[in-house]
Amino acid sequence: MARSFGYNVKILEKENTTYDKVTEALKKYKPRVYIHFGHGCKLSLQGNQECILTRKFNTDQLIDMAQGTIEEREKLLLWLNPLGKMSCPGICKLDDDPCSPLCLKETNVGLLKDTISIAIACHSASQLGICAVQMGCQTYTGETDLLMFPVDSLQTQNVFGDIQLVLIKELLMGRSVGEAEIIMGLVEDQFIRDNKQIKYMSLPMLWDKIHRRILGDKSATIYQ
Amino acid sequence: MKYEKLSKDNSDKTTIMCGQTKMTIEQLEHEMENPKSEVGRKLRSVEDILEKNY
Repeated sequence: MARSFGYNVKILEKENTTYDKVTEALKKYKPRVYIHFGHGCKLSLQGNQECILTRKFNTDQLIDMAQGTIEEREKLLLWLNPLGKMSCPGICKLDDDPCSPLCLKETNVGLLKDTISIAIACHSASQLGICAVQMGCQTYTGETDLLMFPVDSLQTQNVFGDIQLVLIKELLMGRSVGEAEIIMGLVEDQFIRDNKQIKYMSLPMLWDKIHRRILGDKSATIYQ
Repeated sequence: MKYEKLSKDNSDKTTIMCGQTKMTIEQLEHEMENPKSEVGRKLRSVEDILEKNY
């Protein structure tokens, strides 16, 4: 789609979604727009086998977070492992520590500086996106919780996917991130109204809409 | 809230991706009915919004 609008596009997928290759590509190409389709945690976006964009805590920061009352520590544990029994099956190489801040990879989310970033993934806007904006990312759009969608023999997942693309399409056509998100919201609202009577059509769409955040500059456009 | 059906396709042909976890309709219904379930609590909250705003 982006190429049809005349944009230069670099795609990293499958075995190329590694920390090193993504880091190298961000340094080399300095993209205006970074889009992630895949898995995410509060502190990272994940590729095929490992985190590819991450914010790593150092030991002192982790110790600071772990101190305090039992309630504070329990809150921390929940924050570190938000999915509880629904935890990720272990995409990262640290199979026993999904979404762990003890990722061995160094923080590279600062490479999103000056980008418009869109993460179609779980959780990342709750922390990673905030870090990205603090480190200079102009706008970070993502989810603060799980990304939900139905999968069935009618290919409903494609309908959900197409709606996710509305924001990207509007952005590519020149709208600001905020304007694009409003348009996407209207499409979502129509879908929800049309499917209100089907529980696991309307609920996941509304869930995704409610948990989406735009962090940073909503007025950002691709060409400033 | 009352619905006409739980899923667009047959429930046994439908899974709901919750992040990287595949849930059946039955499993999600169980989560929503479980007062101790965090995701169930959140889904019930979303359902309230659906009922009031759409």
